[in-house]
Amino acid sequence: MSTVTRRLLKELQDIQRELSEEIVSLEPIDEDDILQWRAVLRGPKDTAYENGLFELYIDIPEQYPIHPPTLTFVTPVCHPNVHFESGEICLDILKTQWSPAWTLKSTCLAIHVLLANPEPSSPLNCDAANLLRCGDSIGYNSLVALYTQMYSM
Amino acid sequence: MEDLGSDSGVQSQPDKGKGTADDEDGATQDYGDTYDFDDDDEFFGMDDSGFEPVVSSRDQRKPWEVEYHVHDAHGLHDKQEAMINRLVPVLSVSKDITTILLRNSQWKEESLVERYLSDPDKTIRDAGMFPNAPAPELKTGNEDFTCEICYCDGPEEVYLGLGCGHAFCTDCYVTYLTGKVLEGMSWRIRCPGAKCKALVGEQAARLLLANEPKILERYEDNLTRSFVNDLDSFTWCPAPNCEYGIECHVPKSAWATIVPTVHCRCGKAFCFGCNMDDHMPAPCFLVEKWLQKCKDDSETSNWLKANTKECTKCKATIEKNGGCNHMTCRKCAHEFCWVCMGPWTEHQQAYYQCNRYNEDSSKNARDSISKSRALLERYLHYYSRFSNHERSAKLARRLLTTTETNMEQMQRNSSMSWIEVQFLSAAVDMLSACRATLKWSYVLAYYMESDNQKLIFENNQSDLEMATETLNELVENPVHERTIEEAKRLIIDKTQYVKTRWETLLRDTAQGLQENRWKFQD
Ligand SMILES: [Zn+2]
Ligand SMILES: [Zn+2]
Ligand SMILES: [Zn+2]
Ligand SMILES: [Zn+2]
Ligand SMILES: [Zn+2]
Ligand SMILES: [Zn+2]
Repeated sequence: MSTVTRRLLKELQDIQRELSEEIVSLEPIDEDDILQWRAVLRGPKDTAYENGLFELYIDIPEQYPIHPPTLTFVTPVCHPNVHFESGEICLDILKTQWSPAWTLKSTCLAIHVLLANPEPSSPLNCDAANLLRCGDSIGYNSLVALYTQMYSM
Repeated sequence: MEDLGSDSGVQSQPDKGKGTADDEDGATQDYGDTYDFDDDDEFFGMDDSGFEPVVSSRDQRKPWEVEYHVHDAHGLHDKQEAMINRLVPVLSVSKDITTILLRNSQWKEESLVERYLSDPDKTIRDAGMFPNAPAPELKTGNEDFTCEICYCDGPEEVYLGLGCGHAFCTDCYVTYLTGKVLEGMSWRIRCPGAKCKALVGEQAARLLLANEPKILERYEDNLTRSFVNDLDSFTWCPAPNCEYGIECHVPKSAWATIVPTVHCRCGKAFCFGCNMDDHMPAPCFLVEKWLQKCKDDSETSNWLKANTKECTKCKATIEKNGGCNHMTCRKCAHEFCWVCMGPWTEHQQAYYQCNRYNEDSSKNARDSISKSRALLERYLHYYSRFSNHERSAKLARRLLTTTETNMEQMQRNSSMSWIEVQFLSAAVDMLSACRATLKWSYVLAYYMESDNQKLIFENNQSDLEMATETLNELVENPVHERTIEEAKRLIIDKTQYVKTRWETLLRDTAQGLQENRWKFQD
């Protein structure tokens, strides 16, 4: 068994034993392919994402966990660090700050934290980032809530 | 004592370090007032490391030469080791920690020691290491071990843990290190633990990579690379594929008055300050200013770079194809100077004006034409001479081959005994050096304010330029109405004379810059 397979099976066992409430589901899309996963996150409480469900596609390289997985939102998300069309996510641990000790679960939790704590300085969605940068949090929240209602409920 | 792959930098081009003591006035510059080479004695001069002291040959140096050393990879490695070993007893911590502390503080020993003495534990932790952590070792036989990367577990697993508490199996560690090393990293490689700031020290890395000689070698290379990049007193030779590192302790603050030209063992002569090709006698800041100006004025310089001109007499188009400025029109046989377009006959006399921009006529010109036009003309005057010497230097190299062939031909035809042509390449080397110096001397002159000191400089410049042109002409056409022996003697004599003029100009400008003899304008 290859390192990546062994590791992912262990991760799957761990997930099946216990999954945190932020994550609705996290599992391989297809039983025959351990390198492609799907996750569903719950919108963080007390944010405009609350009550929304957000689907992520996870593509895992052969060199995992030395190299990071690629996560993209399948559900359209209005967020400064998420590209609205492609679902691409700008998060340091998915790039330069990746460590092989991160798991798919801890990575999903980090993305959950990002939803509630946007980083407007490295935006992939300029409209959302600009609202935040001008301090228009009312505008930002109503925009997010609108999209959340439209796409993820 | 063996020199550990280091060259002493006391040599002058193109007289490659024969050590001739023809320093006319014996003037050796006293650098003491401006800066102190011995500043770093603590680091480089002390001798418990087995190095020869760097500061040794001040008296043999010409006034325009600086102290430097050329190191190969082996020498650079030893240099690092010496610096580390010297500090271990001072800090009295392990060599592994000392090494990281030095690298982490860009090898600034003094400030590191200061910081360390005020709070040793914090200094070590800030650098990503752990005080009192046991030396890293490969462990096995631990029931409770689980590798957080591959999830292998059990007492049969071999693993390594750092002071931070994170432990991983050797297979995972080696894969992880290999990836980082191939990305060019070395001592900055961190523990694979999530968000962990601990560094994988060199000792741990060497332990883990013991069975991966290729990767370990890359790792050591990366360490040396960062050593040279992090230290202000080291730089890489900029020649493509050259692996030598140069050590020079002329501080940045002195680059305005000293041109730190160094000669790499590969033959490349470059400025330690700005990494450009040797630009004596102009200091770095004027070179930078000038090149920026040339870039801004690219249209005019393009126009000037054109390789053709018209004969001043018959207007026939003439192409320059040799380094010599003495032009003879093929059509009307008019002889003139390529640079100033003046008749060549005037250039042969002491009353030589080609190098000198006539400030008077530019003053008068302000009445009739605009001031900006006068400024442009002033710039063009210097620029055309600058670029002309640049072009001539390139042509001189090509010239060597043709001249050698010609001379060999002559020998065969005249059934004369073999004359070695070494003197020709010596002459061409000298020509190239003079062209480079003359080229940059026009940049110095461009920024100099007009006064008596500038006149003296221009006299030296003019002397060198005239001597250079004569030698160039001789090398281009050595056996013209002469026997080969005569030509050889003439060229050797002229080369020696040019060398004297060259050294005079370099000595004078080196001293003048030190004494702030000239005022520079924008
Ligand atoms: Zn492992
Ligand atoms: Zn760690
Ligand atoms: Zn070199
Ligand atoms: Zn320079
Ligand atoms: Zn003519
Ligand atoms: Zn002339």
